[in-house]
Amino acid sequence: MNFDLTPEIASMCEVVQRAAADSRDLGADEQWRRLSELGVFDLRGDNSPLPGAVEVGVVSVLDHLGQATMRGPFAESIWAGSDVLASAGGLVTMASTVVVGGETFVPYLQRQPRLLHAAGADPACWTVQHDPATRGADVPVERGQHAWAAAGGARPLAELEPAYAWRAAAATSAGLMSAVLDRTVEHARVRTQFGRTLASFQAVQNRLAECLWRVEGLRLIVREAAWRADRGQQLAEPVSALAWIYARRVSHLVARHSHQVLGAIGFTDEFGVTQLTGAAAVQRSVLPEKPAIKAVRAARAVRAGDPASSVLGGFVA
Amino acid sequence: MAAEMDFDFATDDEHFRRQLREFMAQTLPADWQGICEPGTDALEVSNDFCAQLAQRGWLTQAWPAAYGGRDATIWRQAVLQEELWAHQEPRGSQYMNVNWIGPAIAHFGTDVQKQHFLPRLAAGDMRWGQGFSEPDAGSDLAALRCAATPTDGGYTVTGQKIWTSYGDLADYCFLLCRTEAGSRRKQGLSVLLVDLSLPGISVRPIETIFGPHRQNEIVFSEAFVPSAALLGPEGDGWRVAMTALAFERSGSARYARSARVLGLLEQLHGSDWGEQDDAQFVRLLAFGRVAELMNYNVMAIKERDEVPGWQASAARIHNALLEQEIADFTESVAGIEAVLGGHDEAAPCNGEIESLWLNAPTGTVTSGAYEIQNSIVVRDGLGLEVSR
Repeated sequence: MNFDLTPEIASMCEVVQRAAADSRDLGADEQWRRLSELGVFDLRGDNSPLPGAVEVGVVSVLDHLGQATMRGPFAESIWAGSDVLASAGGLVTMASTVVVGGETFVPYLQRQPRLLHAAGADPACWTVQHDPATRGADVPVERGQHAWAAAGGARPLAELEPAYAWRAAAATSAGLMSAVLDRTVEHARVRTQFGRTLASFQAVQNRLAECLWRVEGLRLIVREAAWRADRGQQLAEPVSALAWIYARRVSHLVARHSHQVLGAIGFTDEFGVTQLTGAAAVQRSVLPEKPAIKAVRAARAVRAGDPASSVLGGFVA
Repeated sequence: MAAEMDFDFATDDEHFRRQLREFMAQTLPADWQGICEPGTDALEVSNDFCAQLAQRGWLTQAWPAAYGGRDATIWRQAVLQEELWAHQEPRGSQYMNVNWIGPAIAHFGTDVQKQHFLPRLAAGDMRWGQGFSEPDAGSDLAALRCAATPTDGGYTVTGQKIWTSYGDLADYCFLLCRTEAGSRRKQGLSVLLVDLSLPGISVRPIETIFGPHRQNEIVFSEAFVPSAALLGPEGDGWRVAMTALAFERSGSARYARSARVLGLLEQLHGSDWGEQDDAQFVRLLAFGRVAELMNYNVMAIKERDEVPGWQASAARIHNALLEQEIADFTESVAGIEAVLGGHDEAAPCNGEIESLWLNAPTGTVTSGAYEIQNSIVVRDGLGLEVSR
């Protein structure tokens, strides 16, 4: 067994993450343009830059975009591919104008994802709303549809092939939670209370350690799901479901630990963690656990006799 | 050239798994519940089982051929560990020989020590105990006081070790002791490979809820241990012991027993589960698969001839917490059956489910407590200074 990324995938992830970081101050339009140039939206196409490891490439890139604290409908966009994005009349960006359907939302709604959710907004759109870059901008929002989605090409995550959606969302969660952990550790290193840094308290260290090993484990099962999908294995679907089920748990837990360590500063807009944990929460709400659980149960092979000594040994071969 | 990504065992390793399961079905009694069940038969069964494994070349097949192994891959050894641990570890204490005592001797030992110990370990006729913890040095192992005072031709050992699993059955002790008088903490420690039949050494079993052999104390009363027993450099025992522990930490395939018990629960009760039980079962499968992958990741590191660091501690945490969550689930879905041991006729699966339930709390305590493992993760994984 070997779980390491191939040099090609590792290299692409590194380039993508660097591009995202370098263009952070240039605005979302420029970020997305650069990602497109790097072939991110061609990953699942005929001219994939990573032939033979398409799905592993997708989850790895999504993970790294999350680590770079980029949020947006990347999983949906990769599924749709460059052609669809082009036919929509331009790239979708985190700040992209959304078609107005005769109803204008006041700007503060952009800071109120719950209201958007209640209004039945498109989940992909939902992830856009809480970005500081768009704060205050008079971006019209239509009930539930991006311009590119309205063009008929792309669908929200919950309507994609379930196994793809599960592992893509899980990969995004891994990246986002990794970024949350990085920020939390950094804060714990410098924040002093009772004459000591937060990071010097064992109770804090236990929380941080758990975040690290949870995210590490999540990353492995996401990678496995993608690897099996690349091989067209029947196990790809239940393993993708397991990855998403675990990702939900991990993102809950990391968010809880992070906020506990950060204290009040963690809830502020300027600190920037709530945007990441919020994006993960969005994914959890649009991709419920129940269908994944049903998929796993349906794939189990309950036989009489000596049970398997491994989890996957209990699935239909 | 880097190896290709791969999440499956090789075909020949899976073939070996099937062979091993057939061998166990033929060799072990139908009601086998491990070496710690009351009665004397279990020890004989274990010794015979180890000898047969050794005769087949399976016991230490991942060791170098020069030391009685077959140069098999670590994955072949992983299959062995999984199947044996899932079936109540028929090797008893000898799993330690294979997992970390033998590798530690191969890594640090003199040629004489290698020639003396490794063939016997590979033959399956030696039993060892771990001499680390002391009454006043548990998680804080560096506080240990057991003294080995250098003397003519060896050391005079005086002190007490405690919580030594299988100590009452052991022929030798892997002893971490203080060879430099007045030294503090991790300085001045050494590892001695101590013959427990030497004068001045006594072993006393400690009764616990886990049955016989599990816990013992070893008392050294001015016992003379020859200098040939020193493993690695004198005064460098902390590094020797920690390296040995790093070999061991993911060595026990506790995750395999967890997967098996989940399978048993599914067979027994799965068709009656409601939505909530279904959901919790699947969540445990997810955690179980992650635990497996974390352990395999450590093995991959070992296969590259690197010593696993924080990932080994993380894998161990997964194993321990998984067992505890399954134990909770067991109470929920199996009711009273969860706590019926192998001695009870009404116990399902010869008490195998109860065995996991009973032992689950130990996972976060033994062989490096949960907090200690986390401190390693924090230090080596996050670069933070460890605080206790």
